[in-house]
Amino acid sequence: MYIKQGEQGYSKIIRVTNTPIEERNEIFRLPLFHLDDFAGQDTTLYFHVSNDHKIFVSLWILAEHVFAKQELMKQSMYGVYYGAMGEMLLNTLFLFISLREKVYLDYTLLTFASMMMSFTLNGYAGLLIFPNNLDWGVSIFGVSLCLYIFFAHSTTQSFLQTKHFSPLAHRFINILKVFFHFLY
Amino acid sequence: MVVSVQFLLRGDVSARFFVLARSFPTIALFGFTLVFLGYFEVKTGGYFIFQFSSFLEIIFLSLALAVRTGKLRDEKKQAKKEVLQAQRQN
Repeated sequence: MYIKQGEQGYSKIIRVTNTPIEERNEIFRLPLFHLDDFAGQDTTLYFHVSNDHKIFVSLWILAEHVFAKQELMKQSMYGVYYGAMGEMLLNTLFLFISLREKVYLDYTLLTFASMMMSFTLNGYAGLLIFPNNLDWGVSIFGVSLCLYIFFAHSTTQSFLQTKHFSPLAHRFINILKVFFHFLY
Repeated sequence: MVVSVQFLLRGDVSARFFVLARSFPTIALFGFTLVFLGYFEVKTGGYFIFQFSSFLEIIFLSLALAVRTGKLRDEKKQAKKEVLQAQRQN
């Protein structure tokens, strides 16, 4: 992060380490800047971001107590979400074991893929599952998205019994399933 | 979505919940795309859109499955009744 110094240019005030992400300590992987030195002042700060491709960067400026409150809310929400989804996953898994119907297996796998996709969207998958492999930490999103689409289509096929009631739709969904995998 | 709507139009009751379940992630993904393209700004709660929609999807899929299982059970009962009636008549 930079601050303008008269006509002479910009000076670096907060530096994010240049160490490759996989070598950083886990708590420093997501950049967090402390701006205490500028409290109460009217200051313009510059944040330089570069990438070879298109990049979306969310920048939040929050007071420490607001940040702490939001983090607490986020963690609680994730706890409720993963707890409820985990319970649903186990429930449908037991239903599949007892009823032996394919639709329950597809539904269980869809729930799992949905959880995985959400886990990759907020960056926890890269951080917790592949902490030392950046490539996998990034590509896991694509993999989980493909899995989600695949199992969503499979659930549609087995739930609506398209093979019996609409063979044309069944074949079309099969093509879509293959298409999305080649797309990845 | 198209296939489920087609089944809904045929009068399948469980397809009603199925269409509803499928519509949540569709709307969420559409919303996410709009956010990424810069049409909307989101606050902290906005980042839970996907989690919330996938949770609702799973809930409504459960309901759809429950309706479908109930329907199959009723059909089985009816078939059993008809077999018993046929046996009595013979």
